[in-house]
Amino acid sequence: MPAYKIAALRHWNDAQHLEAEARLPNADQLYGIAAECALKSVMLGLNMPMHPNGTRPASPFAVHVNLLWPLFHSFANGPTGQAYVNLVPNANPFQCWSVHDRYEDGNTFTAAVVQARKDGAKQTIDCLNLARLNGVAK
Amino acid sequence: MTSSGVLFEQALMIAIQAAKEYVEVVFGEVVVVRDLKGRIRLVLEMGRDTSQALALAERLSASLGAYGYEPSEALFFQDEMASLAQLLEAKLPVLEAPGVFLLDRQIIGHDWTRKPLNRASRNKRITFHGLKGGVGRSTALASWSWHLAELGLKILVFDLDLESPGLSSTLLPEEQRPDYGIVDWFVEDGVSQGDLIFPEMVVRSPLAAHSRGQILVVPAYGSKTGDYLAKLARCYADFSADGANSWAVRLNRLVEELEGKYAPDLVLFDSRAGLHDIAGVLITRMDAECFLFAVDSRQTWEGYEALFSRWNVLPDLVQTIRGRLQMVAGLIPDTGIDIYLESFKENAWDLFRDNLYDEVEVEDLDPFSYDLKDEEAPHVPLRIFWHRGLMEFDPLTNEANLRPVVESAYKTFFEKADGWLGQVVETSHA
Repeated sequence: MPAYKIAALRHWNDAQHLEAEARLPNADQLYGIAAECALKSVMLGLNMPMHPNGTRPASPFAVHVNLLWPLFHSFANGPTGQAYVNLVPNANPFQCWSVHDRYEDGNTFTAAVVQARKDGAKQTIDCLNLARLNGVAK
Repeated sequence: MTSSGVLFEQALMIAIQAAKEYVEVVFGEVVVVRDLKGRIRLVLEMGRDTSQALALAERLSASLGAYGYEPSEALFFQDEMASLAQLLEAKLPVLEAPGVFLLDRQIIGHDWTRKPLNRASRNKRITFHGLKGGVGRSTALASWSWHLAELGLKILVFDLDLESPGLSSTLLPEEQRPDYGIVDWFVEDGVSQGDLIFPEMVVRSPLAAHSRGQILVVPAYGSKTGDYLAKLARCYADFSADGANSWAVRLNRLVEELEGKYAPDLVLFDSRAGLHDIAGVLITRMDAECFLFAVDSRQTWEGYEALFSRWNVLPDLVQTIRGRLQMVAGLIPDTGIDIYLESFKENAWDLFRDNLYDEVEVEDLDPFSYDLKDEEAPHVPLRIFWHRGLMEFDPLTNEANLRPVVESAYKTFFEKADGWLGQVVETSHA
């Protein structure tokens, strides 16, 4: 079983270190991974189904944050999940983010782009922390 | 201490004791967080990786049993929860442990322990609540509205017994129902169009057609509501289209908008019975005074004790709400009245004295405390007498016949309840 909660907090912290050193492309990449893990941690706590082999979520949730963000809204939008959805806005800051960015030359990452991704990741971390307080995050 | 078999209540006591001992050594404050399952962790101000924090985590993990976490998960630190500071502000002080606070992350029921919401309207609001149903609460509300309309008051009545709506049927013939009701407003407000419902959810009751005043009814549902259950299932959401808003905040907004439109002298809420969240909102959050209906039965007093003892540990809330409460004895039997009322008073006095009244010290100038037989005391009930004629209470179809019945059953209730309105009633007489 993936340790989404611990992984989310680790990636979030590491991304901030990279950004502080102006290593924007990898900071951006880790903000995306942190957001994905944070959302999956909350969703797992809300009974997201896992693949039978236990290593990843079941379809359609086995996707990265650019696709997971809207799925989070539709998945968690019930009485027990609404408090978490309220912390994550509808507009998806990772819409143009791709896990394949790591194979690119990194020249397109401006501070403004990374800041928007950081803001989005922060919202998912807030959401994760609420789930931790509630004893829901996994 | 062994961790086997630790139960919900014991876990909290264990955690508070550990937090208390930690604060005595390290100072500062500690928040005991009890999560949705009742499992407990502590939020410390600082001190990550200190020997005291590590020892505390080990102690909690070892002693809380099923309500604990692994040591690595047993503690939070305030810096990681900074973004949720507003949520942490809901913490409540633990009286017996200075510096220790409790944050109870409940699935429902938050409103029972929260203070009234602010509002701009100035009219009085009164909630009619009964811990048990079937004690004549809604009938009393309808009758008092009728009486007050005769005195010239404009009354705005909300039927908030949403799981068992009936008040609006008492006050409105079916063909005069407005198009929509409270459940419709909540559903449409969820997608930012409550204003579509707003003009079509209030009508005048014909019961007061010949009165100087008016009874304006906001029913639970209207003639065009359609699938009531589908709407009821959605109307308690703590969100509207513009984001997170507690149900209490949303209801207060609806009530304030209707108060602004109709300028009532008095708003009456018919609350759902029991310890339901609606009642929590209507008793503690709507800035309303509250008539608490009861019959003199052990089950009733035990239920009220569960509620009052929860308030008892929250001194700020007690200060705010205790002067707003008034017991009402419903269905007083027609024999042995004196004995019945004595017993009622004694049981109510125990309830108030143990939980809400001040313990009187010699030097107290103005304690909130009343003697057993003090007729002004909130535990001494307003009285409603059982009357055979009330069993067919339907004032819309037999008003003339019912009038003497209502006057017989409610005479003393009206006198005392009117007193609660004070200036409002006096002005209407002028």
